[in-house]
Amino acid sequence: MQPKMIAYDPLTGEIRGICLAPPQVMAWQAQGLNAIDGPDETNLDTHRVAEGQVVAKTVVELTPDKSEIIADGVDQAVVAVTVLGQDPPASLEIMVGNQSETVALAGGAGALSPVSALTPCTLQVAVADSITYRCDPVNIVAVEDVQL
Amino acid sequence: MSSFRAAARQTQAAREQARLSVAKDQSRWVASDPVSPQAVSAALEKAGNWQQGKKILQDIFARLLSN
Repeated sequence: MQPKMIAYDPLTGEIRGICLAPPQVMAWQAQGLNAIDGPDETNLDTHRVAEGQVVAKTVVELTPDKSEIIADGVDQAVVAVTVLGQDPPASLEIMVGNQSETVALAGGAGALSPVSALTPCTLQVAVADSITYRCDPVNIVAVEDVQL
Repeated sequence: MSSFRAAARQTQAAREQARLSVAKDQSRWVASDPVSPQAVSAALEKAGNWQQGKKILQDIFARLLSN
């Protein structure tokens, strides 16, 4: 099977382009990117480059105990953070809307501070470093407190 | 879904997240949408007079237009 040409940012390891034909390489280099051969399964979303080698991103799972809360400032959701694979980090930066929190991990597991809301809104929780980690963001939807 | 549509949706989601007010209060995150009807009503009620209320409304419309 034909290997792919991988363009990556030499500073961050982020994969910025993948192609099967060599002519693209000069354009990549003109943009300050490095180019290497990579395995066929290489994908922008699932891989990165570390020490000159294409490696799979570490998978992180965000699991809320509930995805919908009442926007009353009291009801809250707790999002569990799990880093899969060997040698998980001791902590992980998680984005909560436009803010961030460093979540301490024990054996790859931890939890974000509880999330509540004062008005109806949709709050997104995601991993801050999307180059190193692969993670589907989760949305916590705060709905109006309707009292009949 | 086309990549263009997906990118547009991502941009819209990012704008919504940037608009939200999110702050830590006693070890938990509290979110609110400053241009939600609930937040607007609360702000106008708190203002208590038309001059302050008018300025609040102008701020809200400016935020909405910038989005």
